[in-house]
Amino acid sequence: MNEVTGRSSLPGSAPDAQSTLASRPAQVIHLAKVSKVFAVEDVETRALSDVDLTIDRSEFVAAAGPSGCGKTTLLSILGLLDSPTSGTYTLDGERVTGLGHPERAKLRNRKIGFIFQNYNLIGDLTVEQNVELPLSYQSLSKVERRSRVQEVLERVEMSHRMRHYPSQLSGGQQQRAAVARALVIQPQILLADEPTGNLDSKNADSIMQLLCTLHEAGATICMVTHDPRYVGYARRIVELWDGRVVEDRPAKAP
Amino acid sequence: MWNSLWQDLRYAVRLVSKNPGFSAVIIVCLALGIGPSTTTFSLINASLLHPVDVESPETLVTILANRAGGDRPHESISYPNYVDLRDRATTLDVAVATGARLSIRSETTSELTGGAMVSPNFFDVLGRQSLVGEVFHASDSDAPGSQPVVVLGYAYWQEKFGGAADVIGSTMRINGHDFQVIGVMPQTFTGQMAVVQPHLWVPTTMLDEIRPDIPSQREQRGHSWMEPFGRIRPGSNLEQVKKELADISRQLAAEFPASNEFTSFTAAPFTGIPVSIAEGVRQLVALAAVVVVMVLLLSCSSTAALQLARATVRRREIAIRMAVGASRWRIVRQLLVESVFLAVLAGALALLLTLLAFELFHLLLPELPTGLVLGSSLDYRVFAFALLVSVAAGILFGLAPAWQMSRPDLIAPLKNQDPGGDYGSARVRNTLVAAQFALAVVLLISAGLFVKGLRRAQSLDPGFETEHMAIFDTELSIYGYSMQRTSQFVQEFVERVGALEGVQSVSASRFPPLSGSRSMTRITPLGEDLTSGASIDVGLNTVAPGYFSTVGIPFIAGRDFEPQDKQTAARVVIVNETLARHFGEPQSALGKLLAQGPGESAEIVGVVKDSKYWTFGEQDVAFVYMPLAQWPSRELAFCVRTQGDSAAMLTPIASQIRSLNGDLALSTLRTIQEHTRQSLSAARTSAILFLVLGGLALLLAVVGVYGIVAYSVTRRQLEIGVRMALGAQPRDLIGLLVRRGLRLVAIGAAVGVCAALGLTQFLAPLLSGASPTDAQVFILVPLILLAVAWLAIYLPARKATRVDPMVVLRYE
Repeated sequence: MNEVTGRSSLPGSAPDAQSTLASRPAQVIHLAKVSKVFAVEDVETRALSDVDLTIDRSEFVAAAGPSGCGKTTLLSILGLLDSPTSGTYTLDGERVTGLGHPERAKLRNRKIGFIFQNYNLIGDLTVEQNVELPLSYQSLSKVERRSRVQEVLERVEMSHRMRHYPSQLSGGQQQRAAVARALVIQPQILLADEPTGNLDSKNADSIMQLLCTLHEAGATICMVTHDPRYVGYARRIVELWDGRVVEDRPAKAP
Repeated sequence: MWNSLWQDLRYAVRLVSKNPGFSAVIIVCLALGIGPSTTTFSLINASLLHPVDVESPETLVTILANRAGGDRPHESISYPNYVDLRDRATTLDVAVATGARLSIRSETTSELTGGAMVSPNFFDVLGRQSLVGEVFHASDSDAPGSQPVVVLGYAYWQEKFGGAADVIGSTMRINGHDFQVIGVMPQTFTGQMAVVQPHLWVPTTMLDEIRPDIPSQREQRGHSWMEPFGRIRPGSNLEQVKKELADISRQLAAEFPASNEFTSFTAAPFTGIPVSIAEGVRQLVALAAVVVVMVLLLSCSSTAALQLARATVRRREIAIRMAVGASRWRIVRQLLVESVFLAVLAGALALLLTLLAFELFHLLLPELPTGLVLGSSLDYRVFAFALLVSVAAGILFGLAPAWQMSRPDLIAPLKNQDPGGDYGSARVRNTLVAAQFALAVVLLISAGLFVKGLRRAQSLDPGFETEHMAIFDTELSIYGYSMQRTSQFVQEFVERVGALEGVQSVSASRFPPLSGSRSMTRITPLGEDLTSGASIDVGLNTVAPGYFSTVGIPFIAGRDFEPQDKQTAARVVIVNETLARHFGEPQSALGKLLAQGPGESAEIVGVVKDSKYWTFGEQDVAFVYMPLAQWPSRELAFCVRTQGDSAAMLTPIASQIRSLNGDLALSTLRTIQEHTRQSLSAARTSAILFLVLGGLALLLAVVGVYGIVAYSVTRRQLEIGVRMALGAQPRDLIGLLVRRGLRLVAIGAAVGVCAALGLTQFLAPLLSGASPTDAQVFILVPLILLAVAWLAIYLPARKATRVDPMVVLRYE
């Protein structure tokens, strides 16, 4: 398994935060025998079967596989949007299996940054407000919220669009705003679900470059994609088939 | 916490400004629901909750008289008992007041108005001074007839004198005596009672002039007719007052056992609402509360339905918020802030509607009792109530949608997928639809019954001629007429008015037809052998000869009263057809005897057709007429049959009345059309109020079902697209959607009909004789609702089927 790097997973985090992180567990994510079964009336569909997976701090992992192999279900469980039917899930050293909705919401808010295929920005909010949204569910002062939003928008080169609404942006710009929103909470892990799925190749390349830059700065990333062009950006590839991990290998350099 | 609440509020403001159409519909719907509540509360506040305008009401007490064996205390006292209480009490100052019909004569006319006769210390005890001029005091002369002064109520001053200050010192002729106007009370002063503001106050020192009909009232200790109250003196308290009143009661019982042996006086905290009407007021308030809460619930469920429809659009936004860490509670709170914000805006609109409602009341309901204070001012209580109801409504209509929208089902919305079946929320929506229509059916059936009752009353043959007649009511006792003078007056009236050109006949009676108030007695038909049968409760009127031909009530058998049916002659009566049937065929009642009391019997000399005696809504009632000469009365109604338009005869009739006695109030001289219109005012008022509420209920239910169907078809876009792609015709799909929607409406309507069957029984006395289970109303109302609901369902259903299936399928 990958070695612990000791680098902060929080891009741009302060030195004192880095020292705090040094005491954190090396494994950000650990799944043991995780299964997920969807039951609709008498029909059961097994989306994941006995998945074991560990993601260390500062890793960039791509989960790949054909449609229906369980990639999205895996990401949903990792992102605490869904619960496994069986098995255990440990996030940043804390066992999260069986947690209730409020606790899971809190963990999502503190430790997980999401990047969706369809950006999922709120149309009634400006870019700045969209990025600020996760912070609004934390007890932060307005000054601190604004400062962190400004910082992260500069990082993704979107500060000049902060007053724009999503409908006024291109797809690539919307995804950059979505990345900024994921980063603003300084998450333990970034979960990206087909982040290039709705983009043309130029914008897709740009977003992948951004993820690589973030990874190089220490971010832990787990990306789901079925596009072979972008799997190679990750450092490690987990292949799924029929809900099982069939291969877990280091990626070749892009 | 406050910071995030502020954020939620800002977002709510933004949402409202971004969706003005949707927000406006929600606000209007809610305002229509909150409006009746704030209007009702405003009325209650102005009349019942408003502290009576007196000084330190906490030291005022109502004095109650308990009679041994009586079921509840009453608030009346005789004049001698009042004087003794006033003179003996050391812990409180005792005052009295009583309502009085006052005949006011001006230069041009005379009219009856509602005033009050009060003890000279009335204003001192209440602690209020006049706005203009002065009031009378206890220190003024207490000798009978020594205070011919009057204090005017503010409304009366404005209405009759245009608020002129020079009215002070002028003379008013009241009940045939001159009184000097000495003051005008402030606008808010209603005396010792809330709700009704007397037009004038005169002192009890003028008792003999104001109430000459009861000459012995100053001495009759057993005749309780004044309402006592008092102010606790400094240094005393309620318990001491009660103890002292009990002591005085014992003294009076010992001194005057004939009248006071079983009477004891006590005191209760002053409320401004007489104990005798408090229970009725409570029931009225409860009924009003039930109706307005029904409308409010309907409004909340309709807006909840609209919010659910909106939830479809906001699923993704909510899922995003939850994905980035918002807890369910946080989402629910945000959505509730939005709902409450909309509801508060609706509350503001409802307050405007309340003001409008008062204007409408005055336009639609002109027949409010004189002197009733219909408050329309919006004080802090009304604002606080509107805010409270708005917040409650916001939570009520926002909670179910908020709970539904914040369900932790994140994955599908985040991927823009249709989550498929949502059976839980469907149950909520279906229940909302059914409940809305059930409530609407109840209110509309009630409205339908009132309208039916009104139409029935309007088209009903009252059993007498309803044209070419004038009526004049008067109460000669207040002008000091004795029985003998009254008899003379009747004779002169009949002669003089009967001699007018255009007058066909004139007669007098104790009550006019459709008098509005019941007068009953108990009689016992006697058999051939003078053995008595079962007693019967019958209606009663005393009439002069010629009454039946003048009013237009035909005879079935026998004769009219004649001049020889005098006090000294044998007692005779005329009965109506219903009473006559107790003896078999109506004609067979002639010559039969009716016992009216021990040793008193009267012979039936005539049988007349049934008619309406008190109200249009009354059922057929056994009725007996007695000759006015044998049962004289100083309260009289004169009926004048005219040859042509009776309105044109009012002036010459009034002129003749003035010539008989210039003091007589002429405001009660009117045509029979005006008289019947007044007697229908209660039915008309009820019909208008329930029609407004029923219309409101229908509107809200339709908006609700439209919202829910629109929501439902939006959720089923994929299903509709697939069905259309597979060859379904739009009419098939519309039929499918309409059938599903109408099934719920039908269930709601059925529940509403069942509820109405139970509830309308309570309305029966108010329906002017219409059946509370009238089949026409119970069938028509649900059918109308179903037709309107069909339209509300059809429109969004048709819109949904106009979408290109390929667009829907590609989107999904």
